[in-house]
Amino acid sequence: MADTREAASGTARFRCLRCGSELMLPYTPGKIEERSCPNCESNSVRRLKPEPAKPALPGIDSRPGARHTGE
Amino acid sequence: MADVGRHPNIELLTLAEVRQVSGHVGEFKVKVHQRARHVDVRECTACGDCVKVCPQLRPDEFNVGAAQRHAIYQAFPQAVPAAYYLESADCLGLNPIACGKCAEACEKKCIDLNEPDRDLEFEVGAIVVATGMEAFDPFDVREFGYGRLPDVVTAMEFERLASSGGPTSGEVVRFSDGRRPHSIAFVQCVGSRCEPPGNPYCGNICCMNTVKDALVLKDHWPDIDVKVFYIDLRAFGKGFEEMLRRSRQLGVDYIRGIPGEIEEATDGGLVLHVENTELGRVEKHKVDMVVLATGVQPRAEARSLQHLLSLQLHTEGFLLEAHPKLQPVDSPIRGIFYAGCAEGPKDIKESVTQASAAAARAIRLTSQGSIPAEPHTASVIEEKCTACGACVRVCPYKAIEWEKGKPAHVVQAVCAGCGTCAAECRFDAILAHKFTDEQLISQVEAALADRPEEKTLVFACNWCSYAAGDTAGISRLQYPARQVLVRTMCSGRVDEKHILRAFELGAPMVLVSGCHFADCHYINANRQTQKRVERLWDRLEQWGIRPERLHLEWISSAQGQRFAKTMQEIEKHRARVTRREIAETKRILKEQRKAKVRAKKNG
Repeated sequence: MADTREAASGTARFRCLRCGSELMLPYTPGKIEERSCPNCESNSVRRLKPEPAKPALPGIDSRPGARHTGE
Repeated sequence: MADVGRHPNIELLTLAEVRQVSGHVGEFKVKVHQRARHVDVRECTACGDCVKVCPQLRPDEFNVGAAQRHAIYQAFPQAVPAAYYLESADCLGLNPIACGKCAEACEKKCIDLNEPDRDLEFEVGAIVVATGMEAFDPFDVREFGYGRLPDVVTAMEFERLASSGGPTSGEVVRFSDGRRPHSIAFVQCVGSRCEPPGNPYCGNICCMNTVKDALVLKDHWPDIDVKVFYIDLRAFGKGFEEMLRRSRQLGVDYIRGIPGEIEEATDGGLVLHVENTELGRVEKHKVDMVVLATGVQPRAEARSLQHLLSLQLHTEGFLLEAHPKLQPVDSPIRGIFYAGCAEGPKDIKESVTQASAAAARAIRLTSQGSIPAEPHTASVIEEKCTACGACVRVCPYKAIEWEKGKPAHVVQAVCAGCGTCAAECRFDAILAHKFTDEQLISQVEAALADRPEEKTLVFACNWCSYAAGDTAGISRLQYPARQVLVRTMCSGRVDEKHILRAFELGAPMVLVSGCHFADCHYINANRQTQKRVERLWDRLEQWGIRPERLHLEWISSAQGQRFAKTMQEIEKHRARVTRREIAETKRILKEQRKAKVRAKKNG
C-alpha cells in the first residue's frame, strides 16, 4: 500500500545513515539514482520500507547517533 | 567534405541511420538503414533541371525556414555528394497521385522513383561518433519574445541572413518589414548558464560567434548601431581577444547585463529592459532587431545512440569520455571514439582537432593487428559457472558472452576490468585478475589484524575516491588516521563478502566509496555498488546489525575536502560503536556463516 502511494507521488521516505535525518526524496521504483542527504551531503541514504525496523539488539538503540552502553 | 567524398578509402553513406551495433573492438558489426535517395549520385551532375519542374515547395531547413526548397533538392550548395535528393515524404510522385515531372525532365535519366530503402551490414574495427549538437530553441524563454516578435531572431537565423548564399543573398533585413535595421542588439547566453528551460553549462561558441557577427555587420554596414548584452565575454581562443578588441574599436557597444524583457515599441522597434551591472542601473535600449545568441545542447538522438553503443551520458546529456584529461577522445568502450560536439560544446577548431585525434586513435588501434588486453580483466572459472547469466546482466561493457546452459565467457579485448561481474557472481565463478577475492580479503585481514575496533575499513575506487584521498593529503587536509584503505579499480568490485569479512574481523565501520554516478570510469558499474549496498543494509538489519555501520559515499578525485569531511564524520560513528556491539556482530556473522555452510551441505 505504502509502496503504491510512494510510486504515485514519485517520492519516498529515506533516512540518512550519517546524520539520522529522515527525508522525502524523489523515487522511481527500479531506477537507481545518486542520492544525497540535503543536510549533510552524505550518499548513505537508505530508503525506509513501510514496516518499522525492530531494535537491532537488546539494549542497543538502532537509531543513528544513539550512544551505546554496556561495554 | 569534398575530400571525404572523393577519398578512395572512405565510403560515405548519406541518409543513413545506424540501427544496431554488436560485437566489440576490432569486430564491430553495424547494421545501417539507408533511405532511398531516388537519384543516382554517380550520374547526377546537379544541373538543376529537376528542381525547375518540381511543383512541391517546403520550408528550407538549411535556411532555418527563411526560404523554400522543392521536394527534390540539394541540402546546401557544398553538400557531398554533389547530387540532388528526392525527399519521399514531400514528393507527389511517390504518393498515390503520380507526378514524375522531375524524372521526365532529367536528361541523364538518373531519377528512380521506385528505388527502395536499403539495409546494410558492415564489419568495422573501430567507430567514431561524430553526431554533433543542436541549437537551443528559445521559444520557451518567453521574456525574449522569440516566436511572438518577428524581429527577434536566433543567431542561426541571423547567420543565414548575413550569408551571401542565404535567402536574402547576404542582405540583413527585418522579418517584419523586409527593411534593413539601423540598430541590432545581441543577447548572449540564451539557453546557456541558466535555469531550465535553458541549460546550466556554457555554450562555448556563442561569444565569439556574436563578435564575428558584429564584425561582419560593422564591416558591411558601418552605420548600423550594434549592442551586445552579456554576462561575461569568453574570448579565450587564439586570436579571439584581438577580434573582440577590433569589434570594440569599430564601435560595437558591449553592455554587461542580460535583458529581463524584450517588448515591442509603439513605433515598431523593440525595447530591451536591462540592468546594466557595470553602472548599477536599469536601462531601456531601443533597437530595430534582436539576435538571441542561443547556446547548444545535445542532439535529441544522443540517448538512443548511448543505448545503441552502451555509452554513458554526462549529466548535461553529452556523451561521456573515458577520461576528461587523459582520454578526451576515447569513449569508455574500447574502439569507440568521439569527434566534435557529441562529447561537449566546442567550436570548429576544437572539433577538427578532436576529429583528427579520433581518426589517429582509430587507425592506431586497427593497424596493430592485435589488441592488448587490460591486465586486470575478468575470466570465468568454467567448472564453477552455473550459467545463471547474472554477470551478463551487470557487465557495463557487454563483454560477457553467454548462451543458456553454457558457461559464460569474458571477451578479454572488451573487458575493462571493473570487477562488477566477480562481485555479482554468487558462485565465485569469476576471477577478477589482480583483484581476486583472496587478494582483497587478504588485504582486509591484514588491515584489521591489529586493534580492529579502532579502525574503519574503506573500500576506495582507483579513479575517484582513492585519488580524493591523495588530493586530501596533497592539500594537507586533516582527518583521523584510523581509516584503512583497500583500493579496487571500481567500487563495483566490492563484494558483500568483503564487507562482511571486515565486520567479522571486528571492524566497527565500513565505507564503500566510488565515483559520482556521472563520473563512473566503468560506464555505470557503480550503480551495481549502490544496489549491492542497499541490499546489504536490509540484510544487516534483518540479522540485527545496525545498517548505520556501513556507509556509501561518492567522492570525485578533486573532492579532497569531501573525503576529509567524510572521514571525520565516519570517525564520530566509529567512536560510538562499542566493544559489545562488535562482539555481538562477530557472533551473528559466525552463526550466519555456519547456517550457510549447513544450507550448502543440505543442498
